[in-house]
Amino acid sequence: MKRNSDRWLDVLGLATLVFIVAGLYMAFVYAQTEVNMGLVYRIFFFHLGSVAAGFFAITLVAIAGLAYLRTNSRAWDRVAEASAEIGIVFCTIALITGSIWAKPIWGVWWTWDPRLTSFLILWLIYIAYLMLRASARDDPRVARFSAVFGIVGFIDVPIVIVSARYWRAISPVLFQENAQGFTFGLTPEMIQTLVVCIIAYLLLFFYLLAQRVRLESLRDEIMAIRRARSAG
Amino acid sequence: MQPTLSDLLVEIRNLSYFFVGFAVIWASVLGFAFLVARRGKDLRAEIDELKKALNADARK
Repeated sequence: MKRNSDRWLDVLGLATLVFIVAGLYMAFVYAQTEVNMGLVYRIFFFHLGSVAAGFFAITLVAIAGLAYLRTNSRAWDRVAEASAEIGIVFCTIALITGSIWAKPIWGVWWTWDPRLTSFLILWLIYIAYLMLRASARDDPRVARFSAVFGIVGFIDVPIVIVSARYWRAISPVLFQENAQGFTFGLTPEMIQTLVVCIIAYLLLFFYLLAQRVRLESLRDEIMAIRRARSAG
Repeated sequence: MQPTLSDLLVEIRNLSYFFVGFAVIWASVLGFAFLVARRGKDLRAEIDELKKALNADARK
């Protein structure tokens, strides 16, 4: 018989699938083609979805790190490690798709624009975080140090967000302030598609997180059985 | 205004970037999901083996 958590995971998986299919339909059919960029701009919906999921994952690493430092609970440590790994996957997707999008639009694969550079630094910080975690998986000192590392690394997230607004950058700024207040440089259809894609990616993040945390629980179970064997 | 041949070639070239972008996204997501599922399967098999070994130790 299925456990309650398995049933919730199935529901989450189904909801993720529905939103991904809806996001694909809206990105390909519903949203109109952008005048200057043509068809290639449609990557933007999934590129920004990856960025949102990546930032959310990294925020969760910092929150789980803080909770771990306060409570010393292995459950929070598991969430931080799993979230960092999935965050890296989404940030890697964002880096690669951003580059693929930039080539036909800007004519270059990469430029040392403030937003791109700060995002690359963020990616490197969390690659280092995962390397640190892999160096001594079951050492509580490494877990504590990683928690601090994850919290300090999070400081780069707001820098990435505001970099295009406050430094000379070629990355687009989505929210713009004018006489009417804040405006979004997109049509209503594009905004709706973007929202659906971001929700789809966040649901995908939670689904993968649940699976990845379960993996860490299995690892802990193995360690406990090994300890029991060596003690007996 | 009718699109020129050069416009058409640019659009075809952009189409290839578009498909590569989508291939990267879904290959990465599915690849990661596959890796997690495989690691889970391996760990479950290891737990079963360890439990059997633990039971065998207890019987001795």
